[in-house]
Amino acid sequence: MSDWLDVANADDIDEDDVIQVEVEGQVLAIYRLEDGFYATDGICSHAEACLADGFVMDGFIECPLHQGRFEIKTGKARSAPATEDLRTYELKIEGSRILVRLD
Amino acid sequence: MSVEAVQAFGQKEVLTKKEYKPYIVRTNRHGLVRFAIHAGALMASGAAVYASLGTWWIVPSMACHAILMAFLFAPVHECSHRTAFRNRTLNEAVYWIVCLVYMVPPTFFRYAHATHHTYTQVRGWDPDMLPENMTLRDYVLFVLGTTFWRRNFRWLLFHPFGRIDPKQRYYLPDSEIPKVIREARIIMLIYAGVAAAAVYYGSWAPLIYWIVPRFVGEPYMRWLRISEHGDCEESPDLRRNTRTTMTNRLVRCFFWEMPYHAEHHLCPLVPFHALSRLHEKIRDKLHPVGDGYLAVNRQVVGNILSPGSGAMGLDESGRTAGQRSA
Repeated sequence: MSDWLDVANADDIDEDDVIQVEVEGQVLAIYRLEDGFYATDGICSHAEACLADGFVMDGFIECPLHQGRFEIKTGKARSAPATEDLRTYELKIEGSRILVRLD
Repeated sequence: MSVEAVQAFGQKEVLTKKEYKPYIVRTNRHGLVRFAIHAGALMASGAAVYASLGTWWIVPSMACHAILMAFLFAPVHECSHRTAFRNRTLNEAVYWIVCLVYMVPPTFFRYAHATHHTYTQVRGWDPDMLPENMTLRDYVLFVLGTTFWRRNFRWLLFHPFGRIDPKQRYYLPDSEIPKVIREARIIMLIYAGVAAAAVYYGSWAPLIYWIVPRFVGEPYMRWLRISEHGDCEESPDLRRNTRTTMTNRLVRCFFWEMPYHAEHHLCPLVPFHALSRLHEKIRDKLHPVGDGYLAVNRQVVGNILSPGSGAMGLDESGRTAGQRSA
């Protein structure tokens, strides 16, 4: 199991918003929902748009390019043209720092 | 050429994400009102066709009905983006209905259109590009709808048998192929059912109120749609490869604000009812902006007849007369 990696400051993300981070060559999207923070792959599995350019809506991230939707908490693709799930990552908060684990 | 090199770009250059956000709010109300207007107008024009059967009034009433039928492309398009309604079930229900009438397969069209958005105006990648080195014959055939119908008939006739054009396979993930085939079979059954019912009851209604106007009206839609990317830059830059065409409120109403086409391509999450506001925000960063569909088509034909005669009244910075005087 990999180490926890410090990726962002919790205060950098507004509620119902998303940012992109790059860690060890991987692009992740870090979300802040009403009930906490979550992390998924940061590139849309359909046409490789940057999910951080999209918008969080009702617990889903909507791709900015073709409006494919993924459930943030599970990474599941929920509407076409997105069909392939996003990987999710373990995340924890220490103080104001967001840490994720890649494995 | 790499995939990254051909993917459309430009949104970040005109709008920050924070600026974008207020425009993406979806509602059910706007879509319901617009759909009611459109459906109501179609019913009225259909009634006019019925009332004018056997008279010369059939000509204008059928023309009107046909044009309104062609404008159904607008809700097809809006629903394909899932921006017509906030409620997704409602969106998909309306999408299926309008796709059936307009005669496009819903899932396949959604993927084909997504591909157009990914690779706008990149030849060899964009499925909606106008013919290269377009001749007058190409223009006329395009406006008449030959390209459109040939493509649509192939979808409708071949997909039920699992035959998807190999040149269009890249639109679709493999996992969606069974769904596309199943959907095509359902559509074929529905159309066969309508035809069988018409024969059984001896009714010409489907032909008079649906099929004939559907074909008669499509050239108008093709003519409008030439202005979206015709004579625009062949590059992935959405600020230059797509045209917004200024037009009257009636056309904008039935076209569900699609004349704001550059805004739509730059910000596809923005629903139709917010496009005019978005236009006010970013208009100075767009070029070209067309001064009407007639002017744009006149220029396209002019360039066909006299190659290199220049884009439509644009100055060196790509502004129209209207933009220069604003």
